[in-house]
Amino acid sequence: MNNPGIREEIWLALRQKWADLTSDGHKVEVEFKLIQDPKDRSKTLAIDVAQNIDNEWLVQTVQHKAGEAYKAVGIEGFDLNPLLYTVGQVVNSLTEPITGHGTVDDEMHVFMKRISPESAEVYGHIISKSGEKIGVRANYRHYYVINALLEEVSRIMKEEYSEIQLHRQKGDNGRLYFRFVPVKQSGFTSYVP
Amino acid sequence: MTDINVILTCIRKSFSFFWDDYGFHLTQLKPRDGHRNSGYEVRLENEYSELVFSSDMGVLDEIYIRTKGLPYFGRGLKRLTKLLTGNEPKSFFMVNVTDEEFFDSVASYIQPVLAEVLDLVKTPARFQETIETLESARKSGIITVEMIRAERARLHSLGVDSSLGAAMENLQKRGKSE
Repeated sequence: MNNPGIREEIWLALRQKWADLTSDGHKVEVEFKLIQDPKDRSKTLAIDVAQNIDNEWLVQTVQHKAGEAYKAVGIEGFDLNPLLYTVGQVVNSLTEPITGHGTVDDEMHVFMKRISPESAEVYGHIISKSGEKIGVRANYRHYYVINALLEEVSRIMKEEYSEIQLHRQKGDNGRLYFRFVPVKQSGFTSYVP
Repeated sequence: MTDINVILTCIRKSFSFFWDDYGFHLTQLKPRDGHRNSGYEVRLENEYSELVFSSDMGVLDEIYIRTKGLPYFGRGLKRLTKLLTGNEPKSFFMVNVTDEEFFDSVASYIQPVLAEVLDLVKTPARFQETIETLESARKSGIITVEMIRAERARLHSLGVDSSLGAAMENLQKRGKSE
């Protein structure tokens, strides 16, 4: 498998992860999607590394340069208020294909774990009304908005987080709440050069 | 109306001692209900306790404290401060001040009792017992805040345990023997 253009340290870590999972007997399938700059199609802003591990999706988005694509995604300069609103919209775009348009009452959990300032894994699931756990497949749009929210909260609170979680409980009128995992709690390691 | 940007910024600035002195971190941000701008709960945690800043319609209306991991909420700091100092929580209802002035006022109002409360919260049973004892003492008028302060000063001068719990225990024993 050739490196589609990801920074070498991150690429090597991914390869090792897949090798370890495969040798442990897990089923691993990988797809790459290059996200081009809409104003310059020759420029890659980010790469989505979509990993299906034992039939559950986990998407790691790797930015070419941290924050470079915020303008292209339409969230450049957003403070916390519009970011909280936009996160609600993108979360609905993640869940509605499964639960139906306009439904916001299902239990939902989405997680974003930072790998480095320019990369994170996004994964999650919905608990259907019948109690079935259904995985969701995120993409770069979800990553960028959730990551921007995490960075803005980090800036205001003057602390670093390794993970942000988005939760919605059944029967809670679609209320979305956020949990933040401080860096030292999870043993987060950064590839910051 | 104060928005969540301002609430978080003011909490971080005015209550910086929670981070610097007590090792708290932000762990949760939760809207009060499904409508935007109706208020948020901002939760901080350290090793053994949780603090929840509760805002309603953009106004900070209470700070709750409890032992981490317990399924129920502890007590609001307005009530705890009144129990421990006798001060009325007027500063929580200040009007016509800037957001920063409001948060600074609340922070200075609660800071005198904070060390005591955060120490009590480490032991949930002792926390609950102490607060319940203070509540019933205030209702009965037998033990006042001034009496507690005086007893603690007396114990301190003797070089013995002068904690709130020790002072309350002495006053209660004295009350029973009189």
